[in-house]
Amino acid sequence: MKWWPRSWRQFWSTLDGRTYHLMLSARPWLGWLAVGSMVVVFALVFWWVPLEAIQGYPQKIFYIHVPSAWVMYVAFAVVFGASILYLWKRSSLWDIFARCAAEVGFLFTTLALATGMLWGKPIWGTYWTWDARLTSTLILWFIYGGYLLVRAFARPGADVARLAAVIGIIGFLDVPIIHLSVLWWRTLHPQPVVMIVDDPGGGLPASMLITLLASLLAVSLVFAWLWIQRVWQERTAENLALLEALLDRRERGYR
Amino acid sequence: MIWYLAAYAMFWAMLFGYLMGVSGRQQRLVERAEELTRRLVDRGPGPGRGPASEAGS
Repeated sequence: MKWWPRSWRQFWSTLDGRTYHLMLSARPWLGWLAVGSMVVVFALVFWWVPLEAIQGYPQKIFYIHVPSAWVMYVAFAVVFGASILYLWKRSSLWDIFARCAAEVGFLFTTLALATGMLWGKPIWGTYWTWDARLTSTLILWFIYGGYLLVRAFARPGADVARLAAVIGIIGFLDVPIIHLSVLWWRTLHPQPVVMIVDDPGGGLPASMLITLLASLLAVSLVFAWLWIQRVWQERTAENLALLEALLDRRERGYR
Repeated sequence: MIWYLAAYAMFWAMLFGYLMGVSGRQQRLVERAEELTRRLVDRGPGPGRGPASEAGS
């Protein structure tokens, strides 16, 4: 397969296969890179970054809470893009990309919610409050939980893939709502602290920003590796099922 | 400090739990591939592919 397509038509029709080959080539080293970067991040969090003056230790939950929420956005953006391409091209690879990203994205949504609850208890005095950011994130959790249930219990086929793609596309509409909820409504959840547009000198101190950026990179690498691993598994399972069907057929004497 | 440690312990526990699930799936895939390979080997070469077909059987 030539890497550079000759026309836009060829570009779109071969994009699934080229993406898959690119993912396979990253698979051997991505896992080690993800593990290595996570070790560095935990060393930074435990030993290097200073304690925040007001919150103290609970503030360090920030370095896993924010990256989990970031990966949640990225994963569901992948589901959104791959679902559109599946509905357009009807290639099973796009469906696999979307399905696996939804699964890993659901894990990170659960992590964002759970770490947020464990941060909320010492700071707000409660695990949960029906705040706009928390509620819209919980809605996203239910949407993609439903998506995964549809995939798990319905008989696999083009109809289920089509239905899941539609859920994946509509569900993504909640992501910008989550992101902007702290600006649109008065919420208990804090507003953005990394970069403050009105106050360029404000935001996070350098040591906290470096730790956060390293953590964002590390958790993104973990997501990418888990996603690629699951895509490879699903594709391999599909190929094995095809081989099994051929063997069954031949053993029954059909040619 | 307890909340901070609890959050990190839970983060790692959930990631490892998921990783164990992925690893289990991998193991099942390998077993299935081995079983299919055994079936292919037991069957021998297919018609038109090996000496059996050349001999007219």
